[in-house]
Amino acid sequence: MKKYIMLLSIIAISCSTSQIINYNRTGNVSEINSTKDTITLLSTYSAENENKAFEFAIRNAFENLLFKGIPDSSQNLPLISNENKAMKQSESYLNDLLKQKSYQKFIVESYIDSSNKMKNATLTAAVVKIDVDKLRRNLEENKVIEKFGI
Amino acid sequence: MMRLIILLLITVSMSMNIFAQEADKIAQPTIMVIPFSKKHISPRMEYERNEMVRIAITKVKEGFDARGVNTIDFMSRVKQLSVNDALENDQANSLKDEVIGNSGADIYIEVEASKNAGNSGNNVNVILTAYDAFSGESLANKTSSSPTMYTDNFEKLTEKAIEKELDNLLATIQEKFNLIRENGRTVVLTVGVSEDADFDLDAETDDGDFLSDYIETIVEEFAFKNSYHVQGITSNKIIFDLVKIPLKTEKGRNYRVSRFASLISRELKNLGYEVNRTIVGNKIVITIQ
Repeated sequence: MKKYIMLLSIIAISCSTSQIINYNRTGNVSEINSTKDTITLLSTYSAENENKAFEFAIRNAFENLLFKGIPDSSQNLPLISNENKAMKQSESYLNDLLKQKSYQKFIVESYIDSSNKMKNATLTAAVVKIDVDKLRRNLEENKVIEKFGI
Repeated sequence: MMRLIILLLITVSMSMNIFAQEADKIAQPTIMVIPFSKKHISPRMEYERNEMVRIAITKVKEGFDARGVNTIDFMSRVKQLSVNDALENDQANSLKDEVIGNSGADIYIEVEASKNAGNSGNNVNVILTAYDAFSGESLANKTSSSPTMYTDNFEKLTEKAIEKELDNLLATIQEKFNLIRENGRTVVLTVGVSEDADFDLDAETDDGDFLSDYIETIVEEFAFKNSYHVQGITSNKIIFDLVKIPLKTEKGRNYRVSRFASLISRELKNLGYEVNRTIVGNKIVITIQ
């Protein structure tokens, strides 16, 4: 009896557990709109569930803005020109910003544009409007980047 | 009481020293936004007759001001100059150079703006080109078009066009600044022999080198990362159209163009020559007498 219960438990666990997807930056970020101070980005990411995919998409949007730039946009150069150097010199700040999600204070608006459930994951497209001006000033104040000048 | 005064004086002078050192670290450039003007047309005339350009210049300036970048007003500089309204061809070109040269601007940005009106709506195109005021080197250029809309509000369309690329323009200029910090600043150097001299650049030095070769050797020695380029050599002139000088001295002070000129002049004086030098912006002319 015990053996049957164990076997059933194992089968039940293996059926219910989906693969855990860890965050890894992608380039699936594009500009929808921009103003003098803000940029609205569309970022797509997949994870085990919609909420997690949405969070990853938002983080992906910020990382692309910070370290890569958004092609064909008003921010096609990254805010931080040297990612490796910045990670070494401002590790604490950037961890707080990206992993601890303090980037949220720079979000003007965000929502899920679409969400598609697939076999082992949910693909979510997130729209996020970011106050780039405020973000840039914060990076300057915390000496992650220098003010404009030589 | 006397001890207190002395202590106060020491404290004040120390804080001033620290401030001076801090001031050397931060160099915010000043930017002047000017209208693009074709040859034989003065920038002032272009500014006064072209409403789109006036709007574009204002919007670019506003954008820089919002980013905390120091800007210089173009028209106020023009009015300060005691030059007649440039309708004549020769004055047209010199007015632009005079305005830039006397403005104190480190960077100037030429703005070109035009509107398109069509059946599917109106839009505005802008071209922004940034130059280093001293060397004339191009730092960045961006073109941008506003969305096409059914509107006669060209001011708004211009603003939209500029918004799209202003941050990119500043970011590209900053990249150039980073390169300058890494590779040095460009100066142009001409070393020539005076007309009254009884020798030329083929004269031999004590080591048996030609004077022109010696000059090239000392330029190479003092150039930042030994980086330079010779544009041309004649019997009485050698032109270096690119010599890199460092941004900072070993002690962290700003490395002035005059310092580099002094180094070259000193080496020539050590050979026994009399030397005159003229410096305008980043252009050095050394004349060997």
